[in-house]
Amino acid sequence: MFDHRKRLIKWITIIFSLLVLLIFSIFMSLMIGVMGPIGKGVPDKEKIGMEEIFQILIGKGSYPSTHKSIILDIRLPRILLAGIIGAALATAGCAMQGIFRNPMASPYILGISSGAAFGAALAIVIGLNIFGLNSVQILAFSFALLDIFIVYNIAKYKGAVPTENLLLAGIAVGYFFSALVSFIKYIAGEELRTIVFWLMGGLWNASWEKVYMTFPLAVLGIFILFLFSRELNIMLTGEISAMSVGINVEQTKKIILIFSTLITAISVSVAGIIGFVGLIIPHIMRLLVGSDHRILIPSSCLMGATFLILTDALARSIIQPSEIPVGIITSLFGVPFFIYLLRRKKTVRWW
Amino acid sequence: MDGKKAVIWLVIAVLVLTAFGSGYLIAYKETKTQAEITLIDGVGRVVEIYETPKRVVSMASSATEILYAIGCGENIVGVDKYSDYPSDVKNKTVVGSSYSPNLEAIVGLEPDLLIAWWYARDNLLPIEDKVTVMYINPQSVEDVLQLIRQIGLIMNKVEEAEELVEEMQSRIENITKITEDLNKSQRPLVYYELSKKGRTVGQGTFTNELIYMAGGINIAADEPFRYPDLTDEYIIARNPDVIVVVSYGASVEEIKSRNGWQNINAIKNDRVYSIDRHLVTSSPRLVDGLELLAKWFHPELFD
Repeated sequence: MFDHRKRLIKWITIIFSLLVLLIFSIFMSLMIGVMGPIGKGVPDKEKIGMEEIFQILIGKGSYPSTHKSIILDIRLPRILLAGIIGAALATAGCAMQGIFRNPMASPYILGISSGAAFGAALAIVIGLNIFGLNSVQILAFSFALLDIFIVYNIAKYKGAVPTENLLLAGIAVGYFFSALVSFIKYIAGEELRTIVFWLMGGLWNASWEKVYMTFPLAVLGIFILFLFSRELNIMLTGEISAMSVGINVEQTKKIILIFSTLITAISVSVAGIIGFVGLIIPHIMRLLVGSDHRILIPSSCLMGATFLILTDALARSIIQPSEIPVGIITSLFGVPFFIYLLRRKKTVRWW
Repeated sequence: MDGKKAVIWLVIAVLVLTAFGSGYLIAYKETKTQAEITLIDGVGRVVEIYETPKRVVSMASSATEILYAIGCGENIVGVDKYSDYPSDVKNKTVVGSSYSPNLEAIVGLEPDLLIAWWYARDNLLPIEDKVTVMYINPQSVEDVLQLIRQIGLIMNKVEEAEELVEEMQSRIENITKITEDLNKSQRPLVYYELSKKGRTVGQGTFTNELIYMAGGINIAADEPFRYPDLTDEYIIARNPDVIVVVSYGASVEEIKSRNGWQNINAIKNDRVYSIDRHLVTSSPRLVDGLELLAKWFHPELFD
């Protein structure tokens, strides 16, 4: 009983500090951009001031409408979108590593990224606005789901879906879609670079519409995966022992797979293929808070959000006024940190 | 388990509804006074211009060159990183590229008009309601002349634009009136190399059109893709009379020293040339490119 309370207090402390970190990172990156306060690109007197940002946020005081537009319509949606996508990818990664009992698992392991890439590349080459809506996003999302649908049905065997089958089917279908992407890249003209940039992943075209589109799905998906943390804990001990304590393994696996896929697909469809977050953030959090999914999922989610917000701030400020695709930054800065943690805890128990 | 199932179905229902709902979000735009100029841009949008733009951001190198050529250089407040001609461009603020534009920098410059390539649209969608955006998509020499007229109209430089168009047209005619009578056997076979060995220009590209206008035949003119990769064997078998390589590609020396290429006519006769990449795209300088190509293809006719 005492241990239980102590653990609860520890968990609350962890969540609280991660929340503080997240809020701090949001404010931090609101300050960053060519128009200042942190950034170079315009003369000092034209820069947006620190107090001005707070005034704009609370809607009081006087400021040029351009500044308001930059803070509220360009920076804020981008930061929120980074947060949502970081959280979604990290959570999906956590769940995938859980059901596959494999440290190499990431949200992209079943080829979602290749499916989405094919959809996006197709939309880019055949023209951007076939439905009046953003067809890149729609096709990326649809093909990501199609990929999983195919993989799942290939892997299905006598009503069950063994994880080994899933992995192999995922690799096969993923390679197939990659080949199709290569073919499209080959026949593409000026659109080639648009495809290449999309593949690298980035948030430069963030908008409020994308935030509205992503937010409900991501939050609900994350919440449902969190509801299954106990099942994930038990499944880590093996599917047979999970069955012995009364868990419907196949159904649980299916639900976790569906929601991981949904939140990954929505993330990829708006931001392209951002690597690393979904693979390594869960590992980093496992090293820091342990492998109990009840704390691992919420803390990976918060850390994923913070991490992507901060790396995106770097991505848009390192070589101003141009920017680097955030996918490059996530790996460039995340990997050394991960290696550091790995070396520090040499005798880590992964699972 | 049943409770959970119910929650999940509820969630799916909510998701589907929000997805459809957000799809129908249509931005409502208030009606303004009658626009001075209304035009359809390169992606089929209606662009309305209320008064002559004073601050222009150009994210398309061709538009940048056109603006300078019709005397609107000082109206340009920002350019993309691929705009590099004329040299005055380096004094302008850079706002990223079409592939990753810095939206904040663009909005911060408070432009009255933003001109961009059609393929930048997906990245510029978030600011379409804040800045007047015109996308351009010139596909042929005729399109470029049309674009010059259009930009002249918008910038209230109709005469200057017309002058530029007429000058270009007369220079183009000087060449085409000679080349259009050439029959197939009088036209040299041309292999035009892009970034790497074998990568060339096929149907539907500017360069392909320019090669024909200059009196040559592109060995890849019938390829279905715009930028196909030809094999060594095919190039050697077609035996081009002239090889032109774009300035960012291989050097003339490297092409001459390629294995198995020694017997190609172009190399035996020392007819391998390097051309500035700006001279073969949709910029006003394409006439310079056309004149160069004509001189290389038919030194006896153009001197």
